[in-house]
This record gives sequence, C-alpha cells and structure tokens, in this order.
Amino acid sequence: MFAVVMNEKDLALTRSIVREIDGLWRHTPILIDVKFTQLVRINLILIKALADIMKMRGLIISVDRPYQYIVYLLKMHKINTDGLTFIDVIGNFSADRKVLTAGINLIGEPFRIDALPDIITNFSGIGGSGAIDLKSYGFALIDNISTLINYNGYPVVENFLRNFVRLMSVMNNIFFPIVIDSEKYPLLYETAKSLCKKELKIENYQLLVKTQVDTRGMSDEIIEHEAKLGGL
Amino acid sequence: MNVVEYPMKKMQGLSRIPTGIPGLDEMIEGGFPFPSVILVSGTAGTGKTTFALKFLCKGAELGERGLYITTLSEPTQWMLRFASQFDFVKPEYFGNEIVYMDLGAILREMDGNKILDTIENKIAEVIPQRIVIDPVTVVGGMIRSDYRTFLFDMANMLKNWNATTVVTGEVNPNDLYPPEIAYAVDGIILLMFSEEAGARRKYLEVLKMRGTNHLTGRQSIDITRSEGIVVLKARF
Repeated sequence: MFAVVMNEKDLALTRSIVREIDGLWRHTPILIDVKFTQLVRINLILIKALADIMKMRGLIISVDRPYQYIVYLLKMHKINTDGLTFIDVIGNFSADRKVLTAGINLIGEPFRIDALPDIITNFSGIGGSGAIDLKSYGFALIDNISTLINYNGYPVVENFLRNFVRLMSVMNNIFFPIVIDSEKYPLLYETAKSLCKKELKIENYQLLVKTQVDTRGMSDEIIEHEAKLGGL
Repeated sequence: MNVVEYPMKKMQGLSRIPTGIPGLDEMIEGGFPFPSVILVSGTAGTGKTTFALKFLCKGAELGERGLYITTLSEPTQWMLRFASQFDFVKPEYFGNEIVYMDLGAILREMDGNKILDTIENKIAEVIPQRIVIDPVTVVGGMIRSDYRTFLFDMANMLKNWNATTVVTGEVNPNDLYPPEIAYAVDGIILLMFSEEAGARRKYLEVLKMRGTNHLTGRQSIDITRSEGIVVLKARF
C-alpha cells in the first residue's frame, strides 16, 4: 500500500498530545474540543499518539464512516493496527467497495446506540463470552460521538455517554478521550464536561488546556487556565 | 419489565460549512451539508471553476484543508495564472491549505478502481475538509470501465472521507446537468445563461440539496474580481 508521512505540523501536535496525556490518570475521561470539520484529522492524530507512540491497545467505535476507512487511513500513515479492535456501528449501512469485517458489527445500529455498553459488556470477560478483554485495552475512542445525535436524538446519546463513561471507568486503566465540537454541540459538550476531569482544546495546530480538575487534594478544585502547550 | 421509549426527534440539524459564495448560504440553511457531494453544473463560461475555487479559498480562510483535483492535465502554474486574477485567491494557499492534484495524465491509462485508489491515496495524505473535482464529466469519455459505477463508487467514497466535495460538470447548452452523476450526489447547483434584451445574464439555481429547505427558482448572479460569484437577487 502507498504510504504517506504525516506533515510536520500534525506531528508536532501529536507530540504535544503525548506530553499532555502521558501523566494523566488513565481511568479519567478527557474532553477535547475540536471543530467538527477537523474530526478525521484529530482522531488520526490521537490514534497515532496513543497506539503508535504510547503503544496502547485501543478499542475504536466507528460511527461516522465504515471502520475500513479508519484502517485505510492508519495504514497510509504507517500506524500499526494490530493492537486495535474496531466496533463498526455504521458499516452495515454503507454500500462500499471496501470489504473488511470489523471485530464486532452491530447489526441494525446506529439507531439503538444505547445498547452498545451492554453489547461491549457481553463481548468482554465481564458477563459474556470473553471475546474481548476490556482490561487489556489502554484506550477507547468513539469516531465520533456527536454523529450519533442524528440517529438517536440528544437524550439517548447523553444517556449512552454516561453509561459508556461508567463502563470505561469500571475497566481500570483505560484512557477515554471524548472529542466534541463545543460550538456545534453545546448540550452534549456540557454533559461530557460534567464527566471529565480535564478539558483540552485543539485549534488549528495548537493544543490548549481549558479546564483541569485537580484530584490530588482532598477536594476537587477547578483550576481554569489556558496554556499554550506546544505545536507550531 | 419497563419499556423505555426514547424520543426520536432530532435535536440537531446537519452540520454545514459556508460555501464562500455571497448570498448562497442564505438560500440553503447556512451552507453545504458536511459531509456531502455537490454537483455544480453549467455550460462553458458560467463560472463553475470560479465557484469551486471560491469554495476552497473560503475553507483555507477558515483554516480548513482543501484538495483541488483537476482532470484537465493542467499544470498548477497555468491554473494559478487565471485564478490569481481574483482577489480572493491567495497564491500562498496553494501547496499549503490547498493541495493541487492533476488527474488528467492517468485518466487514459487506468480503470475506474485505480483512479479511485489514486484519489483516495491523496485524500488520506492530505485529509482535506473540502475537495473539488473539476470537471468530473471529462472522466466519462476517458475511463475504460463503466462510468455510472465509477461515479457511484466515487460519490460514496468521498462522503466516507468526511469532507464536502464540489464536483463540476460541463453540459451542452440545452442540458441542465449531466444525468449520470445527478442521482449519486447530495446537491445540484445550476449555473446558467439566459438571453434577455440582447444580453446574456447569468443565473444560479439550487435544484437539489438533501436535508435542506432550500430556496427554489433562478437567482441572478454576477462574477466579480473581488468575490467571484455573487448571488444578487436572493429573496430570503
């Protein structure tokens, strides 16, 4: 397969993300504010940071496009996909010339996304066949959660997000970035914010810390600051 | 057992991006759906390439990446020579926010799938939010495989890359749009001439825009150096 090299600006942003999340408590979901048009690029950068550089195993739920497009993009950028498991929520609805089979296909979804946490639980070693061992994963990523609103309406997606965060928190040590456009999806963003300890913003090629909740003290004190962390 | 009935009413409309064409966004609920594939159709000289360039330059202005795919075997500098006559075209966009790709050379040599793979490789490299294929109708006369299948696969592939794509289509003076691609796209914009009182006037009409309550009917347009195509008489 033809391969490309990620441009230097995106590589610099990837390194900034690695530096920022390397010291985080992994069970903490982290909110990342990204313009909706940049989601493909930012999710690629996140996967490069987490799977390629930090060598984590990942659980990736594809909603926006069939999962083979993510695999194709990762391979083009020479990112090893061996440690990644894909849950394809949309693939059954796409008439696509690419034919691949994801780790799990959700037939009939994405209109019943509320069922996903149970399905993952059943596939994991928690209460089902043990097809996937959630404890072996370092991160989980939904590509992307706001698209689900088009299929399910906001209340269902909010409920799903709360349940999914709860499920991820049961799996100790899993890192869960939630990527949402705060301007386009303010309601969902506020819900996610209430579930996260840290809030980042990516604007063009800059990574900014918007909010951080310090859990080292006796009480959770919100430290709000905007700091330029890196990038070009 | 409790049965929970979830409200199916959608809380959020389609995501949209500004077209860059003054007056057009107001006709289509704020911009083109993102992602989508939009056909801009018209006879020679109606402003299809100007429309496409403005669409990309608007994205560049907003920090979005664009991919301009020409099917005409036209080198970058030749395209830029004409495009730079417009004030909105900034040469520094090209090679940075806007990447230029010449597909013309390979059209005669490859079948449909290989052409799609070539386009897809470039998309995966650039990861654009806006794509232009100008003009797509040239492909029909050149590729060896079935043109309709190629167009269907191309439209499907483009949507799955999460970008909004403008494809331009040239038609004969008596035609509105190239029928082979019309069924595969999400929107159709017509650019046309009309002879009135001995003068040729230019018009724009939104014929189709999926998921959008769009303004119907022809709207007068002008093409200016400063802004490219401008919709003059949209009744909002």
